[in-house]
Amino acid sequence: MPAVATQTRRDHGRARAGKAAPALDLMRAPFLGALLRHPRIRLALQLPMLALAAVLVLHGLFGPALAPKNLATVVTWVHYRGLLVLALLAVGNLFCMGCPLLLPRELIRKFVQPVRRLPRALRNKWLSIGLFVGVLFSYELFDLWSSPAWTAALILCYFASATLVDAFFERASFCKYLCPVGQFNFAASTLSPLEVKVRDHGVCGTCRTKDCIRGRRDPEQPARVTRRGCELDLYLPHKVGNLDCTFCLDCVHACPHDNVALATRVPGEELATDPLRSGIGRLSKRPDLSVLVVVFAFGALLNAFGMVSPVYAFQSWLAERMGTTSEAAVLGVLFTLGLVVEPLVLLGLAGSIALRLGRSERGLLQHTARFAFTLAPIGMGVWAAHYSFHFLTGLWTFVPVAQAAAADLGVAFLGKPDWGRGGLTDAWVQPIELGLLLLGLAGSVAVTVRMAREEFRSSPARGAAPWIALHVLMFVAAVWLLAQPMEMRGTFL
Amino acid sequence: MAVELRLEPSPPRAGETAIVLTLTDASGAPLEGAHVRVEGNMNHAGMVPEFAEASETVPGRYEGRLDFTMAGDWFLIVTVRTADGREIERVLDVPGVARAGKDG
Repeated sequence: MPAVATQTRRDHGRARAGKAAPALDLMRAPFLGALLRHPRIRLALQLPMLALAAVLVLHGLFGPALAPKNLATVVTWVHYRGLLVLALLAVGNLFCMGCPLLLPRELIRKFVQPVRRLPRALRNKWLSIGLFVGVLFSYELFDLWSSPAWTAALILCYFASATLVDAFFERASFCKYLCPVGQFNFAASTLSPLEVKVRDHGVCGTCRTKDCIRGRRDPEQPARVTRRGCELDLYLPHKVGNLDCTFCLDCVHACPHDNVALATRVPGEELATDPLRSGIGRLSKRPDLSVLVVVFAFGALLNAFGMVSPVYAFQSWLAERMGTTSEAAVLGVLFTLGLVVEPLVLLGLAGSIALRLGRSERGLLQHTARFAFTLAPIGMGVWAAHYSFHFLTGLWTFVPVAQAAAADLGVAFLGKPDWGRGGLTDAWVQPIELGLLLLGLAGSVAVTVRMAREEFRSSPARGAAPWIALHVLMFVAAVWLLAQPMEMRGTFL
Repeated sequence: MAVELRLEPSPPRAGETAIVLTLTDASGAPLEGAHVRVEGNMNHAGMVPEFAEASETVPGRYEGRLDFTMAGDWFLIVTVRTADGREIERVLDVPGVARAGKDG
């Protein structure tokens, strides 16, 4: 045990050593810094998002049943998803920061404080991976993009789940272990340019109260928390990267030394290193996180595959071969192929060839689980290209829908619906899509090269080659998919 | 009012498509002298709708052209303003518009 403890301390030391003074700290920026340090900043973001969610639910349930005429479907599937990925790429996990799902639980917790922790067996990502796949599957099976009522039901389901889970279990159990959108955001935010981090580790070294994790206490009643600490169990001095960070800024408000920065960093760098991370452990010891990244990356391809013409021919062929008319059964096979068989074969091949070429003694499973993290950038590239396509080509489509919704309520000041409003043309959007895919590929290659230097000390280039080949294959597949004629259909059988 | 829709080519493909609408009143008689406007939309959000006017070629039969800009599931919102000033709206599904140049 002492050896382990020494190793742990050394690793944390290495992590700290890598944290030089941040190049740009938004907490120190004029005006913005003061705004971010304001204790109600999160609430100020959450309240408009809650109002928006209420509008979407009401319009989804009681507005027009036609998807292009309803705010629930237009805003959720065109604008929310697009803005979410672009914000993750340009800034960070802003949508978790402004997430309105937590407001009902905040209200409940004013009266009742949960005392139980989520059962230990559930304190990992396995259940949330299942839920993430479940959402992707439901999206295809129930054609959520074409149903305002189902979209509203999904939003309500998110609110109910978050409220129920966090009413029974303390801390941010829903965010950390269950929320499918949250897991997507965590995986994607490894590529974000901003990170919540310690400004000066020397200050933390002298800190006795650890308010950033324990919460700031009332000096008269130490049991009473006046500013809560990190509910995601990320102890800031040992926090590495953005995984599991919701950008809630609780640590910023709890720290009595004003020692928390929202700082720039190299996107994706956290994937290449494997220090002991507070609240997470080592990435190499977290197969659930490896699988999350694999599902994130291959799910991006599968989700894009679901909107192009060849998928319908393939599904019809599959249904004929299976002798079924059940869409669920056919989708089940498609998802198994796309999220289980294909990753197993491709990662297995890449890993075993890499070990052979790179002359590493490490076991295949261990090696593959670690290098699975190199898929995060290319996965993010595919999600960003896909969602930005819908967002940019449908940029202004919410305007006439909002005008029509207002007119239905007798509100005239928004004017007559102008249904001619669209967005950018394909000629503009396609180069952007390609650029995002190239960024993703470059990120995956960079992370692989960096990891290969550690993994294959004698021949890193040879060891990295099979993984880079896999990234190029995924890039080519994504380019092919996005070049296909789009064919959104709810039926194929 | 009953609306019968015929598309050419049939089954429909992405691209310019002829629309033929046959309108009859409750008694089954052709609905004459109406102003007919057609809005084509995909069943998912984020697309700009396509609009067309259909003009009467024979009593109760209205023809126009609409551009199915993409393959997939479409629906048409047919708005009929009758000669006596009433406005009637019908939604007609056009599922599975094939991509341009695809057989069948």
